[in-house]
Amino acid sequence: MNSVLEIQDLTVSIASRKVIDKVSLSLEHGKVVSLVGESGSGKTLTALAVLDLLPRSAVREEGRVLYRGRDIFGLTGREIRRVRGNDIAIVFQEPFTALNPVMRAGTQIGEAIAAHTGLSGKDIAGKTSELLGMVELPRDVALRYPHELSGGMRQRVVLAMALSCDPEILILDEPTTALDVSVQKQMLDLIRSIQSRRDLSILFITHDFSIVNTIADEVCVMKQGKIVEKGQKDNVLKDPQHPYTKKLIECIPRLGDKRERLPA
Amino acid sequence: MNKRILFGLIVITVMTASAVFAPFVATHDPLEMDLSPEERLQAPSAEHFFGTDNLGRDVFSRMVYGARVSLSVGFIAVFISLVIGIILGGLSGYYGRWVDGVIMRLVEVMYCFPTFFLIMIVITFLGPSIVNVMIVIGLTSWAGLCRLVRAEFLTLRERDFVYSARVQGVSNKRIIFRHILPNAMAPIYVSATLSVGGAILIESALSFLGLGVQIPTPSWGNILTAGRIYINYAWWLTLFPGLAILVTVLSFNLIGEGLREKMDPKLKERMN
Repeated sequence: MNSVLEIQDLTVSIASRKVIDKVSLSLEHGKVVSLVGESGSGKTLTALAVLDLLPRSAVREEGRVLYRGRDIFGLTGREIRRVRGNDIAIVFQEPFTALNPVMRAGTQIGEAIAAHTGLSGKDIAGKTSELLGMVELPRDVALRYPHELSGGMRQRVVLAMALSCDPEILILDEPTTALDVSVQKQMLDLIRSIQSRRDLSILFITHDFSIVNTIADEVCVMKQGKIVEKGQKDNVLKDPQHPYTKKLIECIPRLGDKRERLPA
Repeated sequence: MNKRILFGLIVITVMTASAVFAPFVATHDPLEMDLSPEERLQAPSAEHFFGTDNLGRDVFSRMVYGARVSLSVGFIAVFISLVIGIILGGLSGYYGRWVDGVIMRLVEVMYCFPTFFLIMIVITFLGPSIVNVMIVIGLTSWAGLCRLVRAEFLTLRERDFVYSARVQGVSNKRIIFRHILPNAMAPIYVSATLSVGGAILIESALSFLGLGVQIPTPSWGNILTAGRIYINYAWWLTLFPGLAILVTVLSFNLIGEGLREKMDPKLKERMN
């Protein structure tokens, strides 16, 4: 098996309540795995655990996270910092707070490059404008401050930050939730095109099965810290086994649907 | 611009300019004495704007030179306390845990001393001089600022952009100086401006007590002391230096208050 990232039996508790309960999943090279579940189901914590960024209140009870066979939790501070941003990058949900309000967008994109390579200022600037081109933003965005950019533009800047060091794995934590629907669509198209061009492996966290449908190869459904269903996207969508999965799938709006009460 | 800030800025600019260009602004040599009875304790006139003191020196010229002392003590003392306060507060807020514990206990110890008496004792040992006064005021007034910086760091540390910088593998040093500190500057500016006024007041009080700037070097505080004996018949000796201290300190406070008002809505916006 050609998996670049493996989570094995990960269990994390906060205040002695298990918030992630024996979660195992593996991400294969060049694939998009989607982690689906309602809020509070432990999706984001799972993502944070992958980079050993759990909040102080969270206790890791057991389990391992293997990146290319190396245990993430066994790394020293310096080693884990080399992995963060360089090999595995994360995009968080909220584009409005993910950028430093007093730093130009270009500088923020260049930061990870500066942290992981010895490139000169000029080379970093060149790389930055190349990245802006990749996320389909005009080059002069580099000189703008975050408050001058729209939500969609900011999320693209954040994506450019994540891509700046050619990571092998990208973790996207609800990257489109804060955006409106048409911008959401553009963002998903962009992510998909970058993914296929760069052969990225993506762990895509969402609560929306219609996004899963457009982007994922495999699906893991999470509920209350446990993975309740796992499989190829088409199989899960066509033939969901767990009742919770069925309910989530019923939430996908379809053309011609009569609007009724939300299933709850 | 805010009226209060404007007023404060004008006063401070005039004061600073006359301190910097004192040799050109002063009408007389501030140290030149004239003990002839007709020159001593003269009331304000066209020749001596603020009159003369008991040794026949021109009070206006002495005050212009005295502004150098007061303002430089104010700025430099606050600069020293800013450096200490930002470094210790930043470390405390960013790293937390035992670092925070140790630094906060230190701050509490600083708070326990009545600052003014501490300064007086230290000056008594070190000997009174402008440099000592600046350093001692700086070294004893960082505690409040340290707490302020710590509080800012505590909230900013949890912000998403700090998190994502960390996720990107950015070093702690860079996170502190490029991400957190620039975002914490607004309240620091306010507090620093207010402290300049406080430092000037402490210097004047020390000079008044003879523990600050030593005669014959003029400072607002020691002009005031020298004049207090003659307060019954030479009011100009105490009124003008007193007014100078009042107006300067007031101006710094007005700027500080104005800045606070201007920055508060931004602070609220940032919290969202």
